[in-house]
Amino acid sequence: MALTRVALAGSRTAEPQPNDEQPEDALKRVWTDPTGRFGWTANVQNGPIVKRFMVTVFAFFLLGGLEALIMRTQLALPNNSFITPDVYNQIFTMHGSTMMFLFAVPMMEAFAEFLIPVMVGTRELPFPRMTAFLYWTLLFGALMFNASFLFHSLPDSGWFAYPPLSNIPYSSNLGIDFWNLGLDVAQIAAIGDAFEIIVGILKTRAPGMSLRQMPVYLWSLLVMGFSMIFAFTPLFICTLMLNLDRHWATHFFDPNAGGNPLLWQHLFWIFGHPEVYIMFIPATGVISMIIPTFTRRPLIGHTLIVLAMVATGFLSFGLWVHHMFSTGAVAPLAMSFFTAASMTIAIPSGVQVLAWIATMWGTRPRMTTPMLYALGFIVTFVLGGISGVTLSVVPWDWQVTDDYFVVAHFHYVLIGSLLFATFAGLYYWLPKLTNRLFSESIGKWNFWITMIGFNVTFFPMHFSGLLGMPRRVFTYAAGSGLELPNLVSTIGAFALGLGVLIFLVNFAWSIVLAHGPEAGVNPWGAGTLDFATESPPPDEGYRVVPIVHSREPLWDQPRLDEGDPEIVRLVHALEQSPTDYRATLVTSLAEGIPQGVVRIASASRLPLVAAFGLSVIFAGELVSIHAVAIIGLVLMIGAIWLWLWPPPVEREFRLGDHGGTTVHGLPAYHSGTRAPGWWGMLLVLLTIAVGSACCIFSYFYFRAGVTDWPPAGIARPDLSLPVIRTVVFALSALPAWWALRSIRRDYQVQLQVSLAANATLGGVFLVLLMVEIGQWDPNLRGNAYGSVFYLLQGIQLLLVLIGLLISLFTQAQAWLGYFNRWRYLAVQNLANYWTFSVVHWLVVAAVLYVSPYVL
Amino acid sequence: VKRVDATSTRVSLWFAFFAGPLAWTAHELLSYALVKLACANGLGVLEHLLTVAALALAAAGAYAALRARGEGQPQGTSEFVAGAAILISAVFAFAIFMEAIPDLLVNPCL
Repeated sequence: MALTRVALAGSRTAEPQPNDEQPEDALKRVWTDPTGRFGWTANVQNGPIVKRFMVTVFAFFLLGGLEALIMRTQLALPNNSFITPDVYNQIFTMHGSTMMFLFAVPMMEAFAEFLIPVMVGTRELPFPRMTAFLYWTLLFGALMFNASFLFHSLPDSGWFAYPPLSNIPYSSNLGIDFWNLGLDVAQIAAIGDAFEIIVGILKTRAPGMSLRQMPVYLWSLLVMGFSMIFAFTPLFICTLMLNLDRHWATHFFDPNAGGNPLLWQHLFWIFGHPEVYIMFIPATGVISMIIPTFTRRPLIGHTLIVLAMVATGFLSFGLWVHHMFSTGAVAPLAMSFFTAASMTIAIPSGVQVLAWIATMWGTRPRMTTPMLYALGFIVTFVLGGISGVTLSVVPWDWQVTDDYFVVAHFHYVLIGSLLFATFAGLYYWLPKLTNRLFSESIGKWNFWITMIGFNVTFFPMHFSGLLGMPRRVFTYAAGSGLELPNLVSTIGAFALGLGVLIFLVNFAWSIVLAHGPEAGVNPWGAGTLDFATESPPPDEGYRVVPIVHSREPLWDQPRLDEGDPEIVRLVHALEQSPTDYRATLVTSLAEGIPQGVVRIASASRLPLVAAFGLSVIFAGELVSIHAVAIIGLVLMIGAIWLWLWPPPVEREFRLGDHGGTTVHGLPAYHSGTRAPGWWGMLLVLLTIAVGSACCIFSYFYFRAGVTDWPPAGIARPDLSLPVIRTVVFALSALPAWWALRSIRRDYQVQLQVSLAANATLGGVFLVLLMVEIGQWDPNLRGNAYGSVFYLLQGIQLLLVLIGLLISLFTQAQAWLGYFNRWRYLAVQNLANYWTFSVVHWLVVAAVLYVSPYVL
Repeated sequence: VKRVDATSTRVSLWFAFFAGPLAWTAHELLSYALVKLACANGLGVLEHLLTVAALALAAAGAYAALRARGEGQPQGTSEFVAGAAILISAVFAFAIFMEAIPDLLVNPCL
């Protein structure tokens, strides 16, 4: 009953009456973030954060666009002197990096953060404080990166920053450090967002939303989330190596000391190629939501589209070498494997395009602005995709690499898919977020001028490329036949800029000044849950959590609270309680069966402090004042500690009904696969594993390039100390598991003792490891073997240090009696983390100490 | 809503879903890594064996999916996952096949 009422209500309900509080007002009260002058610093609701997020990344998009216009102005005429060659280098670096790292991926993340809770039918993202933390992190990282303008030391080695150019002595000012460290902070935001996306989709779907009923957009986000973990981590590792090379005297990219600049290209493109699909796959998800709405027909080939997204996600990780065809370092047979993979990936993309066409076939689509952008997406993407397939052919790639043909190709793919999908998505979903529709007539101008401007800009670039115009060169000679295409491109670029300006006008007129018509609940007549709530979605998401029986529940289900009587009772009971803490439903991964009621974190300023601390660490390293970095570290650890500390309602075991352990018959305390936090830890460990795999890859990459290993003059590592260390560390995992076993039986003292034993053994291992690192073998300092040796040991050191912090956090709670036989997730996560670090050490030790003897 | 999937079906569905991608990943990385060896020791046959093994793994995934298909409810989740797994196995078998073509045409010592 209540949901249909909510669904019909045009606007939000009145303020709660304090004396005569209805249960639904209690629900609203617990979910409302603090208001007041500085309330915004404590926001953890996805609504306000997403608004900020979108405005921020759109501002960076405008900045990147401005940079593009500066370049196009310079290139309008041959031998132009609008900007100097140096400035040109800086501007193209800033343009590429800003668009890729600060606009494209974050924009898709912003859509995800807004849409996941409404589309899966839950109250909030699973880790709301993390949502806030990630926004602040991205903001601070982006500001740090762009602070390079203020210090007149802009990076100028291109957005992929190849060493040796990006290394000292060729780039000795702070430019690359701004690039490196500022963007690293922003990357942390991307990886963290992946955790939120994955756990949100896998564990908090509405009852009945099985994998079969899940909208394709959520599938695309799932692929995006996993791809972010597997792609951004290699980027983080290679930028770390570059930073170590620049400031800590390592030799990863130094060929004179056994290093190899091509290692950068491998790691960077293992990130860089999937990066394109990290933007593209959710963009296709947007299109797959819009086309069914405006054709009023369910997506044809739903399973095929899911398959295409998953296959694209995997295949995108097997293409990276095609960025290295012209290096001369890859054997023709090896290159051919990557040609094959690069051609194959066109198939799933083609499947999606055909499915969209089939869906539209024979219908009369309503040509609204979002639909126009979706059609523009398809046309442009097909053009860019086809030129992309040609580039997978090695001789052709040799011919056109690093010229404007490639520039034309990737702008067709990126602008065509990502920017058009962004505009389509903004026109489609901003009415939901703001309750105002855009002006359709301004919207059509917006679309047509953008579309025409875009094609006028980039289509001639195919020809300037074929005529031999290299990318990243600040000018071209007169009389080379390049004048006309370049002038046309420049004119087109300003038209494209005008198109974007029209969007801003539409946004200001329709939404900020509220001249647009009210959107209401479902302005487009869409079939999915994202249009089920009032606009904007209330803080509590859904008053009555929906029950899903169909892929388009709003089309197929007369009511959203019907079905199994037990579940109907549950969703209505959840409207009444719990209302003294924020809670949402967790459901099973495959079938969407209710499994429990989980507490969600409340509003807090600590994420802001933690993000600030994180940025201070990187800023300290930027200026090479390590004391500053340590202050930032302490700040960050302190803030995260307090952020994670259980609130009274949880530590006093008051989550359940009437002091029990269940809410409406479902568990209120969670562990294992039921608990979002368990999944969070699993994904953190996956990320660490990917990072270490990159380092181990680097080790064997260096190994494969030489005959003497370790390099001449260096003895093979001594095995006696490592064996002792390994035994000690392996033993330390036993008390961690014993602690878990104890608390499951409520043995408090046993828990405390085994946690202490675990930490002690871990501490001994840490000291032993530090002894070896502290000896700082002079033979190892001067070569890449030593660099990767110490890097792997350093990662292990960090892993154990963090493990000890987690242990301390868990022990503090154990001493205070905050655990019992139901509430022990922290102990379980510690045991899992610890087991992982032991396995990690076994692998690292095998690589460092054993492999030189056998390989 | 009732739980219908037995654990064994779930495990085989996971396998079915990921066997193809895993086979392809292993095939690509190992083929790449073995190029030097194939040239130095004339072990071109290694690359072909790799292809056969990878195709077999993808086929095993498709087989597991086909078997799981009959076991779930007609419109259930496991049916959906099994259907997707068959398609995924086919796509990745094709990807492996594509990567096997160069083994027949290109000299590893070039």
